[in-house]
Amino acid sequence: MSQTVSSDDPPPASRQPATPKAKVLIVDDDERTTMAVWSALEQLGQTLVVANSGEEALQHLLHDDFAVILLDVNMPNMDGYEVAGYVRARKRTRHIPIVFLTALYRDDTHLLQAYSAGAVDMVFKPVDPLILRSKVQVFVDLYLKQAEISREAELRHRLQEENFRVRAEKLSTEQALRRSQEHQEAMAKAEAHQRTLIEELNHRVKNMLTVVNAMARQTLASTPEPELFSEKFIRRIDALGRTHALLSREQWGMVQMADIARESLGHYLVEDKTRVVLEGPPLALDPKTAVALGIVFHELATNAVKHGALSNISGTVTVSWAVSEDQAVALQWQENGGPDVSPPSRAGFGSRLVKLELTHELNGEVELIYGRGGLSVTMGFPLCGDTSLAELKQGIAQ
Amino acid sequence: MTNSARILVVEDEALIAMDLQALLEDAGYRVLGPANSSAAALALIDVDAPDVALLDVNLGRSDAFGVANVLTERNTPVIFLTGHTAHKLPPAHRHRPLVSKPYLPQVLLEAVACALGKREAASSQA
Repeated sequence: MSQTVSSDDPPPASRQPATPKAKVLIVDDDERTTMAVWSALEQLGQTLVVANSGEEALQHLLHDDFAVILLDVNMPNMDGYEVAGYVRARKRTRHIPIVFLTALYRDDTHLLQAYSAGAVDMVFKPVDPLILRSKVQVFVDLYLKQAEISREAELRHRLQEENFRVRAEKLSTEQALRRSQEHQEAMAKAEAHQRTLIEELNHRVKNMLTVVNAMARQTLASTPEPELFSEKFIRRIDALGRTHALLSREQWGMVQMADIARESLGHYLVEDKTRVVLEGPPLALDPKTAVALGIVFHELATNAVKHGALSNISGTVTVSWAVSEDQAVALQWQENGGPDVSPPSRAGFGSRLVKLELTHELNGEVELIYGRGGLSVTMGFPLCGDTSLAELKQGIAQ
Repeated sequence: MTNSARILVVEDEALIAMDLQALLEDAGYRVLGPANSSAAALALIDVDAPDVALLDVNLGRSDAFGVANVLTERNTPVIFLTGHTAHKLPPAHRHRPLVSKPYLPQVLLEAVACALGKREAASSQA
Protein backbone atom coordinates (compact mmCIF):
# COMPACT_ATOMS: atom_id res chain seq x y z
CA MET A 1 0.00 0.00 0.00
CA SER A 2 1.26 3.44 -0.79
CA GLN A 3 -0.14 6.90 -0.40
CA THR A 4 1.00 10.16 -1.80
CA VAL A 5 -0.43 13.17 -0.13
CA SER A 6 0.28 16.78 -0.45
CA SER A 7 -0.30 18.37 2.90
CA ASP A 8 -1.77 21.49 1.44
CA ASP A 9 -3.40 20.96 -1.92
CA PRO A 10 -4.08 24.33 -3.45
CA PRO A 11 -7.13 24.78 -5.68
CA PRO A 12 -5.80 24.56 -9.24
CA ALA A 13 -4.49 27.78 -10.76
CA SER A 14 -5.10 29.77 -7.56
CA ARG A 15 -1.38 30.38 -7.12
CA GLN A 16 0.76 30.75 -10.10
CA PRO A 17 3.43 29.96 -10.58
CA ALA A 18 2.97 27.24 -7.92
CA THR A 19 5.55 27.44 -5.17
CA PRO A 20 7.86 24.48 -5.80
CA LYS A 21 7.55 21.72 -3.24
CA ALA A 22 10.02 19.20 -2.01
CA LYS A 23 9.07 15.54 -1.71
CA VAL A 24 9.90 13.50 1.36
CA LEU A 25 9.92 9.70 1.09
CA ILE A 26 8.94 7.86 4.27
CA VAL A 27 9.83 4.16 4.18
CA ASP A 28 8.64 1.91 7.02
CA ASP A 29 6.71 -1.35 7.22
CA ASP A 30 5.22 -0.23 10.52
CA GLU A 31 2.14 1.95 10.03
CA ARG A 32 2.44 3.44 13.49
CA THR A 33 5.80 4.85 12.61
CA THR A 34 4.65 6.19 9.22
CA MET A 35 1.64 7.81 10.94
CA ALA A 36 3.86 9.36 13.57
CA VAL A 37 6.34 10.62 10.99
CA TRP A 38 3.50 11.91 8.83
CA SER A 39 1.97 13.96 11.56
CA ALA A 40 5.36 15.26 12.60
CA LEU A 41 6.16 16.49 9.07
CA GLU A 42 2.71 17.55 7.88
CA GLN A 43 3.15 21.14 8.93
CA LEU A 44 6.30 21.56 6.79
CA GLY A 45 3.88 22.01 3.87
CA GLN A 46 5.82 19.66 1.54
CA THR A 47 4.70 16.54 -0.33
CA LEU A 48 4.95 13.41 1.77
CA VAL A 49 5.20 10.03 0.08
CA VAL A 50 4.84 6.84 2.11
CA ALA A 51 6.23 3.43 1.11
CA ASN A 52 5.55 0.37 3.22
CA SER A 53 8.44 -1.70 1.94
CA GLY A 54 11.88 -1.38 0.41
CA GLU A 55 10.61 -2.53 -3.01
CA GLU A 56 7.86 0.08 -2.99
CA ALA A 57 10.40 2.75 -2.03
CA LEU A 58 12.59 1.82 -4.99
CA GLN A 59 9.58 2.05 -7.31
CA HIS A 60 8.92 5.64 -6.14
CA LEU A 61 12.59 6.43 -6.62
CA LEU A 62 12.41 5.26 -10.23
CA HIS A 63 10.39 8.26 -11.38
CA ASP A 64 10.47 10.82 -8.58
CA ASP A 65 13.13 13.00 -7.04
CA PHE A 66 13.16 13.46 -3.25
CA ALA A 67 14.64 16.01 -0.88
CA VAL A 68 15.29 13.30 1.70
CA ILE A 69 14.50 9.63 2.39
CA LEU A 70 13.46 8.61 5.87
CA LEU A 71 14.38 4.93 5.81
CA ASP A 72 13.51 2.26 8.35
CA VAL A 73 16.45 -0.05 8.96
CA ASN A 74 14.62 -3.19 9.92
CA MET A 75 12.15 -4.33 7.29
CA PRO A 76 11.22 -7.83 6.04
CA ASN A 77 12.55 -8.96 2.59
CA MET A 78 14.68 -5.92 1.79
CA ASP A 79 16.07 -4.07 4.77
CA GLY A 80 17.09 -0.41 4.95
CA TYR A 81 20.77 -1.08 4.24
CA GLU A 82 19.92 -2.89 1.03
CA VAL A 83 17.59 -0.07 -0.11
CA ALA A 84 20.31 2.44 0.69
CA GLY A 85 22.74 0.35 -1.36
CA TYR A 86 20.45 0.62 -4.42
CA VAL A 87 19.92 4.34 -3.88
CA ARG A 88 23.66 4.98 -3.72
CA ALA A 89 24.34 2.75 -6.71
CA ARG A 90 21.99 4.60 -9.06
CA LYS A 91 23.28 7.77 -10.58
CA ARG A 92 19.89 9.47 -10.50
CA THR A 93 19.35 8.85 -6.78
CA ARG A 94 22.91 8.89 -5.47
CA HIS A 95 22.63 12.48 -4.24
CA ILE A 96 19.44 11.99 -2.13
CA PRO A 97 20.25 12.21 1.58
CA ILE A 98 19.14 9.20 3.63
CA VAL A 99 18.11 9.46 7.27
CA PHE A 100 17.78 6.07 8.94
CA LEU A 101 14.91 5.42 11.34
CA THR A 102 15.87 2.86 13.92
CA ALA A 103 14.46 1.58 17.18
CA LEU A 104 17.12 -0.99 17.94
CA TYR A 105 20.85 -1.36 17.63
CA ARG A 106 21.87 1.73 19.35
CA ASP A 107 25.36 0.37 19.57
CA ASP A 108 28.31 1.74 17.57
CA THR A 109 28.57 -1.25 15.16
CA HIS A 110 25.15 -0.59 13.74
CA LEU A 111 25.71 3.14 13.63
CA LEU A 112 28.86 2.56 11.60
CA GLN A 113 27.06 0.17 9.26
CA ALA A 114 24.30 2.74 8.77
CA TYR A 115 26.72 5.57 7.95
CA SER A 116 28.78 3.39 5.63
CA ALA A 117 25.54 2.45 3.80
CA GLY A 118 25.15 6.14 2.97
CA ALA A 119 23.18 7.57 5.86
CA VAL A 120 23.69 11.24 6.64
CA ASP A 121 21.82 11.05 9.92
CA MET A 122 20.01 8.75 12.30
CA VAL A 123 16.70 9.23 14.05
CA PHE A 124 15.67 6.92 16.82
CA LYS A 125 12.22 5.54 17.37
CA PRO A 126 9.95 6.50 18.81
CA VAL A 127 10.46 9.66 16.83
CA ASP A 128 10.54 13.01 18.53
CA PRO A 129 8.39 15.20 16.21
CA LEU A 130 10.36 18.38 16.84
CA ILE A 131 13.76 16.81 16.23
CA LEU A 132 12.58 14.97 13.14
CA ARG A 133 10.88 18.08 11.75
CA SER A 134 13.99 20.18 12.32
CA LYS A 135 16.25 17.66 10.61
CA VAL A 136 13.91 17.18 7.65
CA GLN A 137 13.46 20.99 7.39
CA VAL A 138 17.22 21.32 6.78
CA PHE A 139 17.14 18.86 3.89
CA VAL A 140 13.97 20.39 2.43
CA ASP A 141 15.53 23.88 2.51
CA LEU A 142 18.71 22.56 0.91
CA TYR A 143 16.72 20.78 -1.80
CA LEU A 144 14.53 23.81 -2.56
CA LYS A 145 17.55 26.10 -2.70
CA GLN A 146 19.34 23.79 -5.11
CA ALA A 147 16.22 23.46 -7.19
CA GLU A 148 15.96 27.25 -7.34
CA ILE A 149 19.60 27.57 -8.32
CA SER A 150 19.26 25.05 -11.13
CA ARG A 151 15.97 26.65 -12.22
CA GLU A 152 17.68 30.02 -12.38
CA ALA A 153 20.57 28.53 -14.27
CA GLU A 154 18.17 26.92 -16.70
CA LEU A 155 16.25 30.17 -17.05
CA ARG A 156 19.47 32.05 -17.75
CA HIS A 157 20.42 29.40 -20.27
CA ARG A 158 17.00 29.63 -21.95
CA LEU A 159 17.17 33.44 -22.02
CA GLN A 160 20.60 33.24 -23.55
CA GLU A 161 19.39 30.75 -26.15
CA GLU A 162 16.36 32.94 -26.87
CA ASN A 163 18.67 35.90 -27.23
CA PHE A 164 20.86 33.97 -29.67
CA ARG A 165 17.80 32.77 -31.58
CA VAL A 166 16.35 36.31 -31.83
CA ARG A 167 19.70 37.67 -32.97
CA ALA A 168 20.11 34.91 -35.56
CA GLU A 169 16.55 35.52 -36.75
CA LYS A 170 17.20 39.26 -37.01
CA LEU A 171 20.37 38.58 -38.97
CA SER A 172 18.68 36.20 -41.39
CA THR A 173 15.72 38.60 -41.77
CA GLU A 174 18.14 41.40 -42.56
CA GLN A 175 19.93 39.20 -45.08
CA ALA A 176 16.63 38.19 -46.68
CA LEU A 177 15.59 41.84 -46.82
CA ARG A 178 18.88 42.78 -48.43
CA ARG A 179 18.58 39.95 -50.94
CA SER A 180 15.01 40.98 -51.72
CA GLN A 181 16.09 44.61 -52.16
CA GLU A 182 18.93 43.54 -54.43
CA HIS A 183 16.52 41.35 -56.35
CA GLN A 184 14.04 44.22 -56.73
CA GLU A 185 16.79 46.59 -57.83
CA ALA A 186 17.98 44.06 -60.39
CA MET A 187 14.41 43.57 -61.61
CA ALA A 188 13.84 47.33 -61.90
CA LYS A 189 17.13 47.65 -63.76
CA ALA A 190 16.24 44.81 -66.12
CA GLU A 191 12.81 46.34 -66.76
CA ALA A 192 14.30 49.76 -67.45
CA HIS A 193 16.85 48.15 -69.73
CA GLN A 194 14.07 46.31 -71.56
CA ARG A 195 12.04 49.54 -71.94
CA THR A 196 15.10 51.25 -73.39
CA LEU A 197 15.66 48.36 -75.78
CA ILE A 198 12.04 48.40 -76.93
CA GLU A 199 12.11 52.18 -77.42
CA GLU A 200 15.34 51.86 -79.38
CA LEU A 201 13.87 49.02 -81.43
CA ASN A 202 10.74 51.11 -82.10
CA HIS A 203 12.87 54.00 -83.23
CA ARG A 204 14.96 51.80 -85.52
CA VAL A 205 11.93 50.19 -87.09
CA LYS A 206 10.34 53.59 -87.78
CA ASN A 207 13.60 54.88 -89.18
CA MET A 208 13.98 51.81 -91.39
CA LEU A 209 10.41 52.23 -92.68
CA THR A 210 11.24 55.87 -93.47
CA VAL A 211 14.36 54.75 -95.35
CA VAL A 212 12.31 52.21 -97.30
CA ASN A 213 9.70 54.88 -98.12
CA ALA A 214 12.42 57.25 -99.29
CA MET A 215 14.04 54.45 -101.31
CA ALA A 216 10.68 53.70 -102.96
CA ARG A 217 9.91 57.36 -103.77
CA GLN A 218 13.39 58.12 -105.10
CA THR A 219 13.59 54.90 -107.12
CA LEU A 220 10.18 55.67 -108.58
CA ALA A 221 11.25 59.23 -109.47
CA SER A 222 14.19 57.92 -111.52
CA THR A 223 12.52 54.73 -112.81
CA PRO A 224 8.80 55.30 -113.42
CA GLU A 225 8.30 52.10 -115.53
CA PRO A 226 6.50 49.63 -113.20
CA GLU A 227 8.53 46.52 -114.09
CA LEU A 228 11.89 48.23 -113.95
CA PHE A 229 10.85 49.99 -110.77
CA SER A 230 9.94 46.82 -108.91
CA GLU A 231 13.16 45.09 -110.05
CA LYS A 232 15.37 47.97 -108.88
CA PHE A 233 13.42 48.64 -105.70
CA ILE A 234 13.35 45.01 -104.60
CA ARG A 235 17.09 44.62 -105.25
CA ARG A 236 17.87 47.74 -103.22
CA ILE A 237 15.75 46.56 -100.28
CA ASP A 238 17.38 43.12 -100.59
CA ALA A 239 20.85 44.71 -100.36
CA LEU A 240 19.76 46.68 -97.26
CA GLY A 241 18.40 43.45 -95.82
CA ARG A 242 21.68 41.62 -96.35
CA THR A 243 23.70 44.31 -94.58
CA HIS A 244 21.23 44.21 -91.70
CA ALA A 245 21.52 40.42 -91.53
CA LEU A 246 25.29 40.80 -91.25
CA LEU A 247 24.87 43.38 -88.48
CA SER A 248 22.40 41.12 -86.67
CA ARG A 249 24.93 38.29 -86.76
CA GLU A 250 27.46 40.64 -85.16
CA GLN A 251 24.78 41.88 -82.69
CA TRP A 252 25.04 45.43 -84.03
CA GLY A 253 28.68 45.66 -83.03
CA MET A 254 31.64 46.29 -85.32
CA VAL A 255 31.78 44.52 -88.69
CA GLN A 256 34.64 43.94 -91.11
CA MET A 257 34.95 45.91 -94.37
CA ALA A 258 35.62 42.64 -96.26
CA ASP A 259 32.41 41.12 -94.84
CA ILE A 260 30.33 44.14 -95.90
CA ALA A 261 31.77 43.94 -99.41
CA ARG A 262 31.30 40.16 -99.57
CA GLU A 263 27.70 40.46 -98.36
CA SER A 264 26.86 43.16 -100.91
CA LEU A 265 28.77 41.61 -103.84
CA GLY A 266 28.39 37.98 -102.82
CA HIS A 267 26.36 37.29 -105.90
CA TYR A 268 29.30 38.16 -108.21
CA LEU A 269 31.99 36.76 -105.94
CA VAL A 270 30.31 33.36 -105.89
CA GLU A 271 29.87 33.20 -109.65
CA ASP A 272 33.50 33.93 -110.46
CA LYS A 273 36.04 34.77 -107.81
CA THR A 274 38.44 36.25 -110.34
CA ARG A 275 36.00 38.96 -111.43
CA VAL A 276 35.71 40.74 -108.08
CA VAL A 277 38.83 41.04 -105.96
CA LEU A 278 38.87 42.36 -102.40
CA GLU A 279 42.17 43.82 -101.16
CA GLY A 280 42.74 45.42 -97.79
CA PRO A 281 43.72 44.96 -94.16
CA PRO A 282 41.25 43.87 -91.48
CA LEU A 283 39.11 46.93 -90.82
CA ALA A 284 36.29 47.04 -88.25
CA LEU A 285 33.49 49.51 -89.00
CA ASP A 286 30.50 50.69 -86.97
CA PRO A 287 26.91 49.78 -88.01
CA LYS A 288 26.13 53.21 -89.52
CA THR A 289 29.19 53.01 -91.78
CA ALA A 290 28.39 49.40 -92.63
CA VAL A 291 24.85 50.26 -93.78
CA ALA A 292 26.10 53.21 -95.87
CA LEU A 293 28.84 51.12 -97.53
CA GLY A 294 26.38 48.28 -98.15
CA ILE A 295 24.21 50.73 -100.14
CA VAL A 296 27.29 52.11 -101.96
CA PHE A 297 28.59 48.65 -102.97
CA HIS A 298 25.14 47.63 -104.18
CA GLU A 299 24.72 50.73 -106.36
CA LEU A 300 28.22 50.41 -107.82
CA ALA A 301 27.77 46.69 -108.54
CA THR A 302 24.38 47.27 -110.17
CA ASN A 303 25.92 49.97 -112.35
CA ALA A 304 28.91 47.74 -113.23
CA VAL A 305 26.60 44.93 -114.31
CA LYS A 306 24.51 47.25 -116.45
CA HIS A 307 27.11 49.60 -117.95
CA GLY A 308 30.58 48.78 -116.58
CA ALA A 309 33.17 46.05 -116.16
CA LEU A 310 30.70 43.33 -115.13
CA SER A 311 28.57 43.89 -118.25
CA ASN A 312 30.87 41.79 -120.45
CA ILE A 313 32.48 38.38 -119.83
CA SER A 314 36.00 39.47 -118.96
CA GLY A 315 35.92 42.73 -117.00
CA THR A 316 37.01 42.83 -113.35
CA VAL A 317 36.39 44.94 -110.27
CA THR A 318 38.98 45.48 -107.59
CA VAL A 319 37.80 46.84 -104.25
CA SER A 320 40.76 47.97 -102.15
CA TRP A 321 41.09 49.90 -98.93
CA ALA A 322 43.67 51.23 -96.53
CA VAL A 323 43.65 53.20 -93.30
CA SER A 324 45.97 56.14 -92.80
CA GLU A 325 47.66 57.03 -89.53
CA ASP A 326 45.12 59.79 -88.90
CA GLN A 327 42.32 57.22 -89.07
CA ALA A 328 41.05 58.15 -92.52
CA VAL A 329 39.84 55.28 -94.70
CA ALA A 330 40.76 55.32 -98.41
CA LEU A 331 38.44 53.08 -100.44
CA GLN A 332 38.85 52.42 -104.14
CA TRP A 333 36.37 50.85 -106.57
CA GLN A 334 38.36 50.09 -109.73
CA GLU A 335 36.78 48.58 -112.83
CA ASN A 336 39.05 47.12 -115.55
CA GLY A 337 38.47 45.35 -118.83
CA GLY A 338 34.96 46.61 -119.32
CA PRO A 339 33.57 48.87 -121.99
CA ASP A 340 34.59 52.50 -121.90
CA VAL A 341 32.11 54.57 -119.92
CA SER A 342 31.22 58.25 -120.03
CA PRO A 343 29.36 60.44 -117.53
CA PRO A 344 25.58 60.17 -117.92
CA SER A 345 23.85 63.26 -119.26
CA ARG A 346 21.72 63.42 -116.11
CA ALA A 347 22.98 62.18 -112.74
CA GLY A 348 20.96 59.07 -111.91
CA PHE A 349 19.62 58.14 -108.51
CA GLY A 350 22.37 55.54 -108.05
CA SER A 351 25.30 57.89 -108.44
CA ARG A 352 23.57 60.62 -106.41
CA LEU A 353 22.98 58.05 -103.64
CA VAL A 354 26.64 56.94 -103.71
CA LYS A 355 27.80 60.56 -103.41
CA LEU A 356 25.35 61.36 -100.62
CA GLU A 357 26.19 58.24 -98.60
CA LEU A 358 29.86 59.25 -98.67
CA THR A 359 29.48 62.97 -98.05
CA HIS A 360 26.33 63.19 -95.96
CA GLU A 361 26.28 59.90 -94.09
CA LEU A 362 30.01 59.28 -93.66
CA ASN A 363 31.31 62.87 -93.55
CA GLY A 364 33.71 61.95 -96.36
CA GLU A 365 34.27 62.64 -100.02
CA VAL A 366 33.96 60.81 -103.32
CA GLU A 367 35.11 61.16 -106.91
CA LEU A 368 33.63 59.22 -109.82
CA ILE A 369 35.80 58.92 -112.93
CA TYR A 370 34.13 57.50 -116.02
CA GLY A 371 37.00 56.17 -118.13
CA ARG A 372 38.44 53.40 -120.24
CA GLY A 373 37.41 49.92 -119.19
CA GLY A 374 34.88 51.06 -116.62
CA LEU A 375 34.19 53.27 -113.65
CA SER A 376 36.75 54.30 -111.08
CA VAL A 377 35.49 55.56 -107.73
CA THR A 378 37.84 57.07 -105.18
CA MET A 379 36.30 57.36 -101.76
CA GLY A 380 37.57 58.61 -98.41
CA PHE A 381 35.93 58.91 -95.03
CA PRO A 382 36.98 59.26 -91.38
CA LEU A 383 36.90 56.12 -89.23
CA CYS A 384 35.25 58.14 -86.49
CA GLY A 385 32.23 59.84 -88.06
CA ASP A 386 32.26 62.77 -85.61
CA THR A 387 35.24 64.34 -87.38
CA SER A 388 34.83 65.04 -91.08
CA LEU A 389 37.46 63.99 -93.58
CA ALA A 390 38.07 67.67 -94.43
CA GLU A 391 38.78 68.37 -90.74
CA LEU A 392 41.18 65.42 -90.63
CA LYS A 393 43.04 66.76 -93.65
CA GLN A 394 43.20 70.27 -92.19
CA GLY A 395 44.64 68.74 -89.03
CA ILE A 396 47.45 67.23 -91.09
CA ALA A 397 48.10 70.43 -93.06
CA GLN A 398 48.53 72.45 -89.84
CA MET B 1 4.64 83.75 -102.17
CA THR B 2 5.41 80.94 -99.71
CA ASN B 3 6.76 78.59 -102.31
CA SER B 4 9.97 80.50 -102.68
CA ALA B 5 10.51 80.09 -98.95
CA ARG B 6 13.80 78.64 -97.70
CA ILE B 7 13.50 75.45 -95.67
CA LEU B 8 16.41 74.25 -93.56
CA VAL B 9 16.62 70.45 -93.56
CA VAL B 10 18.66 68.75 -90.84
CA GLU B 11 18.70 64.96 -91.22
CA ASP B 12 21.71 62.66 -90.82
CA GLU B 13 20.35 59.70 -92.82
CA ALA B 14 21.43 60.23 -96.44
CA LEU B 15 18.45 58.57 -98.12
CA ILE B 16 15.90 60.37 -95.96
CA ALA B 17 17.71 63.68 -96.47
CA MET B 18 17.63 63.10 -100.23
CA ASP B 19 13.92 62.29 -100.09
CA LEU B 20 13.08 65.36 -97.99
CA GLN B 21 15.04 67.58 -100.33
CA ALA B 22 13.26 66.15 -103.38
CA LEU B 23 9.80 66.49 -101.77
CA LEU B 24 10.39 70.10 -100.76
CA GLU B 25 12.00 71.12 -104.06
CA ASP B 26 9.18 69.45 -106.03
CA ALA B 27 6.78 71.57 -103.95
CA GLY B 28 8.72 74.65 -105.02
CA TYR B 29 10.68 75.39 -101.87
CA ARG B 30 14.36 76.18 -101.68
CA VAL B 31 16.22 73.76 -99.45
CA LEU B 32 19.07 74.85 -97.18
CA GLY B 33 21.23 71.84 -96.55
CA PRO B 34 20.43 69.10 -96.01
CA ALA B 35 22.77 69.33 -93.01
CA ASN B 36 23.88 66.10 -91.37
CA SER B 37 24.83 67.53 -87.97
CA SER B 38 24.11 70.38 -85.54
CA ALA B 39 27.44 71.98 -86.39
CA ALA B 40 26.72 71.90 -90.13
CA ALA B 41 23.22 73.32 -89.50
CA LEU B 42 24.52 76.17 -87.34
CA ALA B 43 27.09 77.04 -89.99
CA LEU B 44 24.33 77.12 -92.63
CA ILE B 45 21.89 79.38 -90.76
CA ASP B 46 24.59 81.96 -90.14
CA VAL B 47 25.00 82.36 -93.88
CA ASP B 48 21.40 82.13 -94.99
CA ALA B 49 18.46 82.52 -92.56
CA PRO B 50 15.74 79.90 -93.22
CA ASP B 51 12.01 80.67 -93.08
CA VAL B 52 11.21 77.29 -91.54
CA ALA B 53 13.43 74.50 -90.20
CA LEU B 54 12.72 70.79 -90.46
CA LEU B 55 14.81 69.04 -87.82
CA ASP B 56 15.40 65.33 -87.33
CA VAL B 57 15.61 64.92 -83.56
CA ASN B 58 18.26 62.17 -83.50
CA LEU B 59 21.51 63.14 -85.17
CA GLY B 60 23.79 60.17 -84.58
CA ARG B 61 25.16 60.58 -81.10
CA SER B 62 23.74 64.12 -80.62
CA ASP B 63 20.34 65.76 -81.11
CA ALA B 64 18.83 68.80 -82.83
CA PHE B 65 17.68 70.68 -79.72
CA GLY B 66 20.70 73.01 -79.72
CA VAL B 67 19.86 74.10 -83.27
CA ALA B 68 16.15 74.37 -82.32
CA ASN B 69 17.02 76.72 -79.44
CA VAL B 70 19.03 79.05 -81.70
CA LEU B 71 16.28 79.08 -84.35
CA THR B 72 13.42 79.77 -81.91
CA GLU B 73 15.44 82.63 -80.44
CA ARG B 74 15.49 84.08 -83.95
CA ASN B 75 11.72 83.46 -84.29
CA THR B 76 12.24 80.84 -86.97
CA PRO B 77 9.49 78.19 -86.83
CA VAL B 78 10.78 74.70 -86.14
CA ILE B 79 9.22 71.38 -87.15
CA PHE B 80 10.55 68.24 -85.54
CA LEU B 81 10.83 64.98 -87.43
CA THR B 82 11.16 61.87 -85.26
CA GLY B 83 10.43 58.19 -84.83
CA HIS B 84 9.88 58.88 -81.14
CA THR B 85 6.72 60.29 -79.58
CA ALA B 86 6.30 63.90 -78.39
CA HIS B 87 6.96 62.99 -74.73
CA LYS B 88 10.59 62.32 -75.68
CA LEU B 89 11.01 66.03 -76.55
CA PRO B 90 12.33 68.38 -73.84
CA PRO B 91 9.52 70.46 -72.22
CA ALA B 92 10.60 73.65 -74.00
CA HIS B 93 9.93 72.03 -77.39
CA ARG B 94 7.03 69.72 -76.57
CA HIS B 95 4.37 72.07 -78.00
CA ARG B 96 6.16 72.48 -81.34
CA PRO B 97 4.84 70.79 -84.47
CA LEU B 98 6.00 67.23 -84.86
CA VAL B 99 5.98 65.00 -87.94
CA SER B 100 6.31 61.31 -87.14
CA LYS B 101 8.57 58.96 -89.06
CA PRO B 102 7.71 57.29 -91.36
CA TYR B 103 6.12 60.46 -92.79
CA LEU B 104 3.55 60.94 -95.52
CA PRO B 105 4.63 63.60 -98.05
CA GLN B 106 1.27 65.47 -97.74
CA VAL B 107 1.53 65.58 -93.94
CA LEU B 108 5.07 66.89 -94.15
CA LEU B 109 4.20 69.58 -96.72
CA GLU B 110 1.11 70.62 -94.74
CA ALA B 111 3.23 71.04 -91.60
CA VAL B 112 5.69 73.22 -93.55
CA ALA B 113 2.88 75.31 -95.08
CA CYS B 114 1.23 75.73 -91.68
CA ALA B 115 4.50 76.88 -90.07
CA LEU B 116 5.09 79.35 -92.90
CA GLY B 117 1.49 80.65 -92.58
CA LYS B 118 1.91 81.35 -88.90
CA ARG B 119 5.18 83.10 -89.54
CA GLU B 120 3.61 85.36 -92.12
CA ALA B 121 0.64 86.13 -89.86
CA ALA B 122 3.06 87.05 -87.08
CA SER B 123 5.20 89.30 -89.27
CA SER B 124 2.18 91.11 -90.77
CA GLN B 125 0.90 91.88 -87.26
CA ALA B 126 4.26 93.33 -86.25
